[in-house]
Order: sequence, then C-alpha cells, then structure tokens
Amino acid sequence: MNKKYYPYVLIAPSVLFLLLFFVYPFLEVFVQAFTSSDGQVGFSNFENIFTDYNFLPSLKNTLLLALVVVPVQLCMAIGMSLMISKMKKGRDTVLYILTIPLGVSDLAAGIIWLAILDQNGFLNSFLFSIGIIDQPESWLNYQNPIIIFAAVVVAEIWRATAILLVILVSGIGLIPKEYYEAAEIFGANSWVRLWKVTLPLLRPSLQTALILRTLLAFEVFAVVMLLGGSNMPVLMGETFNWAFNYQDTGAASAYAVVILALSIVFTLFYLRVLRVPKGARI
Amino acid sequence: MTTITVENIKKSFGDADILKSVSLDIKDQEFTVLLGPSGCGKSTLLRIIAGLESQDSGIIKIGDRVVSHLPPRERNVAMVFQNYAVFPHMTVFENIAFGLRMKKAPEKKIKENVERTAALMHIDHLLKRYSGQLSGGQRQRVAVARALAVEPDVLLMDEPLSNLDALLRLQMRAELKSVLEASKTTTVYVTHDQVEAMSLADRIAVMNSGRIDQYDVPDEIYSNPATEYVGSFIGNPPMNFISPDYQVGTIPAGATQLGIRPEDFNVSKEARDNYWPITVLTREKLGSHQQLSAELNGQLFRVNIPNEIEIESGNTLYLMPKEDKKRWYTEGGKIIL
Repeated sequence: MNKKYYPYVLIAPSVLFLLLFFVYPFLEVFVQAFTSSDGQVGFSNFENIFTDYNFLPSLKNTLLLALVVVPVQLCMAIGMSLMISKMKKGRDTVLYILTIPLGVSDLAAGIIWLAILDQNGFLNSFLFSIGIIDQPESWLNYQNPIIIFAAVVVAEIWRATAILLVILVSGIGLIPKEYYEAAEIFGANSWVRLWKVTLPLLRPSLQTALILRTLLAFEVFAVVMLLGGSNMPVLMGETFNWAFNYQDTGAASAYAVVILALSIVFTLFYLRVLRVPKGARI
Repeated sequence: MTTITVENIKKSFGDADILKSVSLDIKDQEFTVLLGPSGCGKSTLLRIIAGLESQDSGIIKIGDRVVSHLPPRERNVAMVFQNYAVFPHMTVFENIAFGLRMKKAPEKKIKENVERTAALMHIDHLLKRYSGQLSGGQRQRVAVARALAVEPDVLLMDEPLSNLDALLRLQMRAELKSVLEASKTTTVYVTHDQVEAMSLADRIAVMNSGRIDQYDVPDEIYSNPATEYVGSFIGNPPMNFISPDYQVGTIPAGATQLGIRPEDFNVSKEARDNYWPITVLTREKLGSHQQLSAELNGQLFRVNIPNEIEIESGNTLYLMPKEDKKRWYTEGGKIIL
C-alpha cells in the first residue's frame, strides 16, 4: 500500500468510532429535540420544557452553582498551583494526592458526601460527640435549600478543583523564570508580579481550565441527585427525568440542546475575554 | 556618585564553591566587564549584585548604601537579561514603561522617558508592537531601553549579546558602547566573549573558577596578564607559555615559564644567533596576517607572522621573542614584575 495513505488508515478506526458513537447520536439529539411526538418539526418540545414548573428552578440552580463553584475553584486552584510551583521537593507527590478526587466518579463523590452529611452521617456523630447538638439533625431536607446548595458546592469543590489545578500547574511551569526576575528587578513586589506577570501569561491555561470546568459545571448531576434529590432540580437532572421517568426523549433532547447552547455561549465568552493578542504569546 | 563595592562575597551551591571570596571596587560611571568561561561564577556574581541570588557571606555596597540584604527592587538597579525577558503580554511601550510605572512615576515623565530611550535604541516606530512581532535584535533593544528608562544607579547586563547572530552582535556592540558612554551609568557586564570585553570595558575582571585573577584596564590585561590563566584566556590565539630552557640572557629568579604573545616574535628565515629553530606544523592565512602552529623540541606554540614571509608546513623558521614583550611566570602561574 502507498505510504501516503498510512496516516488515514491508522486514524480511520477512531474516526469511525467517533462518527458512530458521538456524531450520530449528537445529530440524533438535534433531530429529536426539534421533532414533536406527532412527527412535526418545530419547537413544541422546547415549549413543553419551558412551561414546565421545574425548568426555571433547574436553570437557576445550574447557573448559580456554576457561578459560585467555578470562581471559588479558580481562586483555590491559582493559590494551590502557585504554592506547588514553588515547591522544590515532593511536588509530584503533593500533586498526586490533590488529584485523587478526580479519580473518584461523581456518583461515588456524592455517596461520600452523603455519608458525611446524612442524618446518621459522620458530621452528626462528630457534632454529637463533642456536644454541639443533642440529637442528629436532618441537614439535607427540603426546608434547608441553602444547606443543600452549600453541601453541593462543597462536594463539587472537593471533587473537581484538581482539574483546574493540573492545568494551571503545567501552565505556570511554561512561564520562564526570567520574566519574574525582570519584574522583580524593575520594582514589582510579589503581589504585583502575580497580577502583572503570572496571571496575564497564564491566560491560555486559564482559558482552557475555565472552559473545561464551566462546561462540566453545567453537566452537574450525580452529586446533586444524591445530596438534593428532587429538592434541587438542575438541567442535567431534568434531562434524566424527561428521558427515563417521563419517557419523553424529545423533551430530554431539548434539555440537552439547552445545555449545549449555554456551553457554547460561555465558551465564546471565555474565548473573547481571555483572548491573547497575536504576537503576545510566550 | 554610584560606585559598587563588592567585599569578600562567598557563594556555594551544595558542595560547589561558586564564588570564593570575591572583592571588586567599581568606580562611578565605570564600565566593568566580568569575563570568564562558563561556570566561573561571573553570572552568579552579577545576580548577587542584582539581588536575584543571595550571598553566603560578604557585603555589596552601591554608593555608600549597603544593599546586601535588600530585595532587587530596593537597590535601584536595572538589568538586561541574556534572553531579553521582554514581557510578551505587553506592548513595547508598556515594557519600557514597566519600571517607571512600578515607581509610580507621573504619566508625563513615563511618556518622555519611554520616547527618549526608544529613540536612543532606534525602536520608536515599534512602540505599539508586542514582543512576538519583533526580531531578536529588536527585543534586545527593548530590553536595553527598558533598563535605561528607569535611570538606574547601576546597569547590569548578563551576556546581552550572546543570543544575537554574529553580524548583529557586532553592530549592537558598537551601538551599546556609544549609548552607554553617553548615559554615564555605572555598568557591570557579564560575557564569555573576550573581544566583547576588550572593546566595551573600561576595566575587565577576569574570573577563574570563583576568583578574580586580574581586574584592570583592557590594555594591561592583554599585555601584562597577571596569571598564566589570564594570558591563556585572553588573546586569540592565546599567549604562549614556554619553558625558559631555550632562553638566553637573564631569567628572573623563580621564573618557570616564559609568556609571549604570538605576535611578539622577531622572525627570520635564516639561522641567526640566539634565534630558536622551529618546525612549522600548520599555516593558516587569516587575511591580515598568517598564523603558524609550530613546534620547538616537543613544545607547541603559535606565532603570527606578516603575510610577506613565504613559508610552508614542514619548513624551519627562526624566532626570537622580543625582549620588552617577555613576561615571566612563577611555578604557581603568577606574573613576576
């Protein structure tokens, strides 16, 4: 066989795989979202979900969750990555330990935090044993929506901060140390160096990390399901409900399209805001 | 008045003693070059003066101020780095303005200084560009302009020309010399290139594994190398060191080596009294003169002779070192004055 075909032949299986199991279902979702149950093409599925009483709360919860979780994670990840980059010994070990939660599935993460916050959980037994409470409290019930929200926030931060961390650590590693030295010589203290050198030069990594993390935040599901159940509807949970509880794939597909639209909007936003002008890269 | 005083600076990394008690007195407005091969400690010394590295012991003074324990930003020094370190996310203007902005200089002064230094370095048409859009030479100019714009007490340069190609290096060298002469800033310049050192320096400190062997004006360094090391490091080809066995006339007490520059021989094609018969091994024509590698009883050495003398490899040539150019060295490699 002619050598120039080798690359195409070698990449063909993965391309086929993607076409079959990603692009085809993806298009299928679009078709279903815009096809009503009686076969008409139009927006009836969207009308269905938009008028559903759970739509606005789930949209609000998802956005609010992303709005709280992502900035907190970003600040934590920046702080942690700066500290890790300064480490001379044991850097890899620390990084491995901090990334362990990434290896835990979100369902398992939800179970872990449920075990902590549940009525019979570790938190209650701890508080009881040191005498702060007299009897186990039910934290995660519908009367405490803020506590449920806070619990999800904490669980999500615990679970997924490390993904920002690894991206930022590698990004910081790419910044030559001469820039810091030059800044130091010309009068910048460490705070100014962070704002004038590190963060601007880290823009490409920040962009990648934020896009990735925000999109994942829009897909939050298992953790919310376990800690909040129906008390805290989110977009992904509603997609699941429509697909499997109400057996309405059209409406579920419409939800999926809404999530996709949100993801695209935010991706474009990050691409725009954290844009690095031509010629201004390292 | 900005003198720099380096007193007994010591520095080691692990087991390696990088600087073994180095002292230097740099005069106001003087251009000092730290010269030496890689690993001799010259960059470390510069970084200690800058405050980027801390000394194990010893004192650095800038003017009358002891700065040894101050962070770089409180030393009022400026530095030009080997790989320029021009911030990629700022325009040329912002790069040059960086130091002034850090000092919270008024906007008017910032604009004035940036424009003045940019014009001086011939980059005034590039102020709106980013460094990614500049060539290496242009980036180097930005780095120098950035350093000059803050009007520092001391200008430190760490092999600023070594990343440029040969022709550009020559041009930048001449330009730097005139710009720095005009700025009258006390300058410390690190290089491993002896030609750069000879052409730029008011005084050269030749460094040899963590020590300064000689600190003097370029002419003295060239004609009276204080040690064998300096003689063999400076000059291309370096000074010849020959055992004095063949020498007629007086040999100073304690002298074990005769140091003589390749161009400091009387040359004859016929045998003469007191001339050494040498065998020519190779001859290289270098345009302005020819360079011979020659041998005398197993000792190799180099001779520069005028183009007029016709000679082939394998021929015998007769040499005598010029009396006033002879330098004598002790067993330990020190010059005998």
